[in-house]
This record gives sequence, C-alpha cells and structure tokens, in this order.
Amino acid sequence: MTKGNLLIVDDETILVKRLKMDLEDLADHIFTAHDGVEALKILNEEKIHCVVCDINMPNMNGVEVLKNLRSHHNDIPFIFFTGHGSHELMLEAAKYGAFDFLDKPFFEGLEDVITRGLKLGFNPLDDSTATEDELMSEYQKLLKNLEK
Amino acid sequence: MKLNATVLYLGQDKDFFFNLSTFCLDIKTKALQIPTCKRGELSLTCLNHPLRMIFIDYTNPEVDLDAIQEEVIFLKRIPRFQSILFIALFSKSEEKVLNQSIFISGFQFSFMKGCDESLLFKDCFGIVTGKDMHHSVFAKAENILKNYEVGICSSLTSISMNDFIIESDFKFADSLLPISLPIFPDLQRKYFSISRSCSSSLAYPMPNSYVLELPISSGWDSDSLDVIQADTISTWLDHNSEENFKKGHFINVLSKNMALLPELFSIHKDSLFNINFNENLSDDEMLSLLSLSKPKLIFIDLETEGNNNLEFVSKIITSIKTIDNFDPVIIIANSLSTGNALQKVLSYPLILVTKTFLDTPFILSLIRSFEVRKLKKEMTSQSHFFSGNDPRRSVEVKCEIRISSLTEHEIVFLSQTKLPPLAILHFHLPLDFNATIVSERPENAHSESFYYIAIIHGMTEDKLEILRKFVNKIISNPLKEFSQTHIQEVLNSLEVNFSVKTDVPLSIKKNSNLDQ
Repeated sequence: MTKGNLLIVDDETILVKRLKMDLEDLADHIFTAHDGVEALKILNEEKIHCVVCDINMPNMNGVEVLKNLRSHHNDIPFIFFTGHGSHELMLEAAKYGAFDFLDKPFFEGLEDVITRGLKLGFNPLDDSTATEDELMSEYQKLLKNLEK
Repeated sequence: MKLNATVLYLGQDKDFFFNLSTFCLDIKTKALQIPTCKRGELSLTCLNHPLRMIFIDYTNPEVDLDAIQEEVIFLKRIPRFQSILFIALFSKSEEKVLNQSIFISGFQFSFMKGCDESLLFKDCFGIVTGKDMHHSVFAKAENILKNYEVGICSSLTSISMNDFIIESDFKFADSLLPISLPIFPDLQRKYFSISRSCSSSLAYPMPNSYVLELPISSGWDSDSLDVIQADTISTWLDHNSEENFKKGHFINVLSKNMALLPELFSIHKDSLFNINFNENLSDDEMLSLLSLSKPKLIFIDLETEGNNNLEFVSKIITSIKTIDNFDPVIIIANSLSTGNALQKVLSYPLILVTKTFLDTPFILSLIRSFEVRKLKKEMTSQSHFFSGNDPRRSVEVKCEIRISSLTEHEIVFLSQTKLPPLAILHFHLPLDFNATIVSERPENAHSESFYYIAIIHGMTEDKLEILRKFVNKIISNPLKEFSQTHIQEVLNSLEVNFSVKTDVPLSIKKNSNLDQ
C-alpha cells in the first residue's frame, strides 16, 4: 500500500540520519534537507506528502518554510520539532497551519504523528468526510477528561 | 428631519401602524410591520434592516411575551443592536403581566395604548435623534427643590450562599452599593459590599455587573435586621432548586458571522445554557466575562487579521488559568492547525478544532452532548439564576436626587452622581411610575452635579389624571417635603381614591450636599 513521501528538515546532520533510518518503514521515500532553502527546493521538485521540520534553524527557520509553502497553496501536514524557547515560533507556525509539535530530543509519539500526517497528506479528501465523527469522538474524550 | 433608519412595529394593530407610518412619512422615515413573530424572526429582521426603533405590541394575542422578551435580551446584549430603542406597547389587560423586568431586559420605553400616540412618537424620535420633537406645554410645578431617593432599575441576576450578582446601567464607583433585596424582605440592610465589579454584562443587557456579599449572620448578631441567616438563604435556594440549574451556566460564542444569530437565539431559548454572543471583545471585557460567567464552552471563529486571532486565544487561556475551578472547553473554528498542535502551542488540553467556520448545527450538537454528559450531573441548589421574565429579578439601586420640576410628562432633577443615558428610573411618588433619562447637562461650569430630564411613560389615563391633578395642586400649594404624609394630604384634597405606598422607604436627608 502506498504510504507517501516524507521530508525531514533539520540542521543537525546526525539527527536527520538517525530519523531517516528509524522512520524508513513509515514512508515510501524519505527526503532530507539541512536547511530551509534546501527544503523548499525539494518541495518544489518532488511530491512530498508530509514534512517534519525543526522549527529553529539558522538562515531560514521552519516557520518561514511553512509560510512559503502555504503561500503556494500547499496544505500538506507540517510537523515541527521544538525545543526550549520556541513558543513564539510555535504560535507563529500555528497561524499558518501546523499539524503537530514534537519536543526534542525525545520526540514522543513521533511514529504515530508521522503516520497520521502522511495519511492526511496522501488522502486530503478523507479529511473532510472523517472530520465530523472524529471531532465528536475527540469532543467526548475531552468531556471525559473533564470528569476526572 | 429624517431618521436614516427603519422603524419596526411588531403587532397587528392596523390603526397604530397607520398612525406610526403617517408620522414616519412626515419625517421621511421608513416604517415596517411584522404582524406575528416567529422565534428568531426579530433577530433576522434586525440583521436585514437598519432598525433604530422597535415597537413591540403586547396586546397582540399571538405574541409570546416570554419568548419576545428573551429575544430582546439576547439582541440588546450585542453591541451593534444596543442603540435600538425598544418600546413596549400594552393595555390594562397586560399591565399586571408586564412586570418591571421588561425594563431590565432591553426595553427603554413603554406606552399604554389609548393614550396620546403622537406624543409617544415624538418622545421616541426625540430620544433617538436627540432633537426636541414636540411643543406641547404641560402644567409644570417648578422650583420644587426637594430631595428624593429614586430607584435605578437593575437586574438581580443570580444568588448563591454567599453572594449575589446585580447588573445595572449604573456605574458605581464606591465599594458599597445602595440596593434593596426584596427576595429577603426581613433583611433591612440598605448597603451591600461589592466584592467584584465588571464592566461587562453577565446575562442581561446592562453594561455593569457587581458581585455583592450577602451579610451572613455570625451568630451573635442573629437579631439584627442588617444580616441574614445562612439557613434562610439555603432554604430559599432549596425551595427554588428545580429552577436552579436552568440558565445558570454560560456559553460564549465569539464570531463576526451575524447570520448565526437567529438560530443561535433558538438554541439559547431551548438550551439549559445562557449563550453569550459577541463579535469581538477587548482583553478587559473578555477577562471580566470569563471571571464572572465562567462559561463551560467557548466557541471562537478564528481570524487571521481581526481581533479574534491566536494571540487573543492565548490571552484567553492565560486568563482562564488565573481563575480557580474553571476549565472550559474551547472550540476553535476556522483553524488551519490541528487540535493537537493548538493544545501544545497554547498549553491547554481542552481544545477542539475545526477547519470550517462555526455553524449552528455544529454548536448545537456540542451543546447537546455537553448537556447530556455533564450539565445534568451538576444540578445543585447552591445558586439560583433568575430568568428573564422573573419579577423577582427587578431590583433598584438607590440614588439620591433633588427634584427640580415636575409635569405629567417629565421630571427634571439634579444629581451629584452621574447617571447613564436612557437609564430607567422608578419613582414611587405620588404613585408608581417609570421615567427614562433623555437629557443631561452640567449644573454649571464648576459643579460636579448634573441636571437630568426623564420622560415619564407607561401610565394609564387614570394615573395620568392623578399625576396631572397632583402637579396642578402643588403648583399653587408647594409641598414642604416630598414625604408620604404630605403627599397623601395632597391626594386626599384632590378627592382621589389613592394611597401612597406605605412600604416604600423615604429618604429625606437633612444637610445633604444637594441642599447646598
């Protein structure tokens, strides 16, 4: 079954290599980039279904990559790696459409988030039909949490 | 003169509408009639027409008084409709049914059908245009110069074991609010401590809310009339327990989509919740509203360029975290980000997100789920919310004034306290009447006092005649004091079968600043 293509963007080379290895079963093909400029080039040339990107990078940060993507009407899911002190950037990213944020260095739930991101990026039309049921289900979970 | 707006008559009285239309024609204003009003139709009409004045005819047998009053309350809380003048038309048959609560529900004027309609039209158009529309001359008792304690119509919105909430047009700066609390008739206290005040309304169309402490007896003062026993309050709450859970909980909807209003009102009417609708709120207004109403659900139509943006949501959440025992579910519509993302960036777990704009079926489904799952479990007798048409909701914030002159049409008085425009005042002398403040001017360049003109309205012909005779009498025989005894003497001399209310506290303060 086709899973879609993933792009990993981070200026930490070792991290990118590690993630590529760890996540190779989740996607059909994993592209990597070490800065925003390189990421945009890949996004322009390849069919990418989901992006995992460090929010804080030199020269062009993850939010700027996202803004650029959205300005070209590309709505693919964008997952950010965040660290200490990136709240302002997170808020900015959320304005342009963030799929999720994962804290470095533990990346809790990374595989699950990427699987969902790829699924959405590959089948965007599914999003609107599944939303109502998922929304109510999510709502019921929130209400249940309130009772605790 | 032309009023660049439309006047609406909600009723079936052809003669009245003919007279209104004729008057409007003379001043080049459009008049519109709706013979009957289905739920939400008033909201829809307000959205579709630039309404400036709405006459609601309560003599129309098809009018559901409760529903109309609720819809007026709902509309008048929305800033863009606050300048609409609502006038209640009624006859003797409705006089007892229409209690004072209409004046704390958005109505600012009333009219007893059968009286002078042209004067009504002139008064109302004068209010909305600020122009003096009539030239009728009434017999005037001048230079009365007597002190009097008037009541500013205000709303008792809720009561709990330790405090109660008042909403009022009156912006009170002191820490003690002079108010009577008729639901506890044995409590004679006249001043109540304000523990919190907010410059936003909670549930009714008045811009100021006050949380006031109930003076609970500590035991040793149980004989005092200035305190109340805790048992008395809890018994009262238990006695009203069936009604306690209704409308005692709030939902906020923040959206610029006015098209939501008619159906949203319908949801508000049927729901256990009180739904507050705002197009936008300042940071202060939002904090006030949150701390006072503690909404269970907050719906926000997110904007990228307007005020209702993510920064504003972030501020809302920061405020939420400062309020004890407050954990609303926030539903963010029109969001480009997912719920997981927003929960993390805003550090708040109770966030639900949808990509589309808010619509009423969505709002309704969430409300229903909440009602079923959560709300009914929270029914308690710990607090009571007074519904729109509950006559017990009507209370009066007391204010001392100095009456300058009186006609059967208007009363002019001096006040050291600044009073809000279009506030409804309740007078008990020489008989019960309401008057709406229509004009204010400083006493002089150096004074902090103001002269006010308030138009008397809603009187039957019989009562008008009593007032007319009273005025004529005191023109030739000025009263020494505005006291119960002196006024009753005047009424007796007129051979009028009328008694001044004996249960009304009169406050004639000697050495008052108003005497200077």
